[in-house]
Amino acid sequence: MSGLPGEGLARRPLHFIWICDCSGSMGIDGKIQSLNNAIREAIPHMQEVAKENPNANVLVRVVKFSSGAQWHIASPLEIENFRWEDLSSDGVTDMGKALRMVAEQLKVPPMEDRALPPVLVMISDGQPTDDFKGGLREVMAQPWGTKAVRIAIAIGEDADLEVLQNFIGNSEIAPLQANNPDALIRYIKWVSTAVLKSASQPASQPATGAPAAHVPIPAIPDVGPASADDVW
Amino acid sequence: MSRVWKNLYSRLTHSLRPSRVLESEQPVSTLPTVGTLQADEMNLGSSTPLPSEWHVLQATEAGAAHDRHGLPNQDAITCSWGPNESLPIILAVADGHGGSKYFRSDQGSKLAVATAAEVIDGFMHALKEDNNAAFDETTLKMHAPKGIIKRWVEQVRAHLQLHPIESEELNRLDPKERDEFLRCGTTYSSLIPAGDTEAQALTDEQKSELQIAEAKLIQAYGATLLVVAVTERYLLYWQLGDGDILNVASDGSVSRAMPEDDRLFANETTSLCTGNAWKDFRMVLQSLPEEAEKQPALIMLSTDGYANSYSSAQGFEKVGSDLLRMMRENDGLASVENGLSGWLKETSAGGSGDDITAGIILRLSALKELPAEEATEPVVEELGAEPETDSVAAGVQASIAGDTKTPAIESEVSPNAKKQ
Repeated sequence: MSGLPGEGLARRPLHFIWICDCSGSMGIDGKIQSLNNAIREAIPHMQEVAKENPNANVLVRVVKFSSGAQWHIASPLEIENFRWEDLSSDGVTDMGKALRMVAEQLKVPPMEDRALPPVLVMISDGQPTDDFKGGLREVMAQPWGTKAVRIAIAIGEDADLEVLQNFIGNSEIAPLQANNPDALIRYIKWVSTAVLKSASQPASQPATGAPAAHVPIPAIPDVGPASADDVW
Repeated sequence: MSRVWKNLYSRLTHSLRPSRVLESEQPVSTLPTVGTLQADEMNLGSSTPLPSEWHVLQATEAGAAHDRHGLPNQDAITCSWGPNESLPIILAVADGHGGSKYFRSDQGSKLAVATAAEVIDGFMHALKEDNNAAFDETTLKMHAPKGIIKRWVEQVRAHLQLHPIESEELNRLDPKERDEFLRCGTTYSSLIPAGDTEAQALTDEQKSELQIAEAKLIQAYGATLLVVAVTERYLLYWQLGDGDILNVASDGSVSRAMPEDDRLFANETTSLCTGNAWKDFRMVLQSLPEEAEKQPALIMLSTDGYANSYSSAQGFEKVGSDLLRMMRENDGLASVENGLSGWLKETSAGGSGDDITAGIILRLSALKELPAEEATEPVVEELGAEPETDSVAAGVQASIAGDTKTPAIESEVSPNAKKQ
């Protein structure tokens, strides 16, 4: 008999899920197009991070929410094969529904026990119009929900920061406030690279029960003070 | 038993001087040439050496991710035998935590395996000296873990005193944590007493400061621990934290002696460095059947980097049955011994990226046993024979005869672990 003992040698999955607000207000002042551009631009950088951390199998999905919620990209795609399809905007803000759909995917199965902590990135410009708390409860009822890295990006001044902070669930990390396209690009790039890199490295630690971030969160980029360029 | 344990406890923890820092052993590559034969209940050792029935293989490799990021191998392994390569065999494996706060966990894991071997070996010999000794639940599930933790902390303290924290070690930490460790390091170095006289001169406030600083610094050494001890009649397992213990029967079937611990999830683990860590130990005692072919063919301890490299638990468990099959081939044992390190390295590269350590206790007679489907002689059932039991997965028999007051030992775990 030749070869390695055992069967099914595999890298550890790292699920990265974009949760994107596609409500009608995202169509105002070019917000949805800026979001599309920012994520598209971030993909090569994500691929670079994945290459530098080859033992993490980065798998990307996208869920969009407006009136209801749907998987924009439903099957986890390896980052090497990930291509962005533009989102469009219309409808209200059913964030709770989106979270319920994410919660379903955090169950074991389909998640694996051996996976790396998933990264969930919520991007929104407004207030939820459905049962956000119920949706968040369902996410947090899953063990992988509590262990996930949860980041939130607020687009514009009308975003509900309290809701986004609740989603993050860690007082040491605040929602990232993007009031112009450049800031959005920088935050999207940060979460796609620095946060992804941190999540890709399998560092064990004692279970202390503390609510602090399970994965160390790197320093957040400074996008500068409010200025005349803040169009949102 | 408590009297025996108290004697042992006292001998192990009496010294006030810094203890010798023990290093983990290098991988074993030679067959044992002497063994044991003794009529006593433990059959722990003998002055008449005979070829051992058991053989141990060890390998540990730094993870592919660790190599990329310039981190050391944070796993450790050691194996000890009784005098003249006799029983008991004590195999210990430890995995230092990889988080940035655990910057001395490579040292912590080395101290963990050395400490475990020392404490369990002492425990075994204390039993041997006391003819009325028996395994009792309290000793196995409380005193042994407490002894290991206490001794490990002593060893960590000794290491800290010899090697104060240096700022270069803290480069991976965020500024807040870095400052905290530097402050604790300074406090510890300035307050740690050199002896009893200085210790008595500390104020209550200083003692409290010292305690807090020490608790923080000990975290840097945090590690998990797996231990298996083999005697003539028993297998004893202790586990704190993640990692795996596989039992492979002669027919190649794989089972696990240790039930799961629900708390071990998403890179979180129980640890030597947390408060009351002894309560987080899981412990199982199994009796070894008299017929050799009903005993485990091999037992493998491994750190979690190994299992995390396979897409399923079954795929990982096949490592155990594959290793047994490989060892049964011509020159198989030598091939496995020569190949094991390279396989672990390759597994890490294609799998988890984490450090991988594996220790294997092999029953040599199993190499000549063939699985039922390969047997050339038909198996004849005797009429009226008692049904065979699954000895490898069996729970524990009652404690040694002679002590009727000692409760039967169940295949038992700590309260937080889930039973299979």
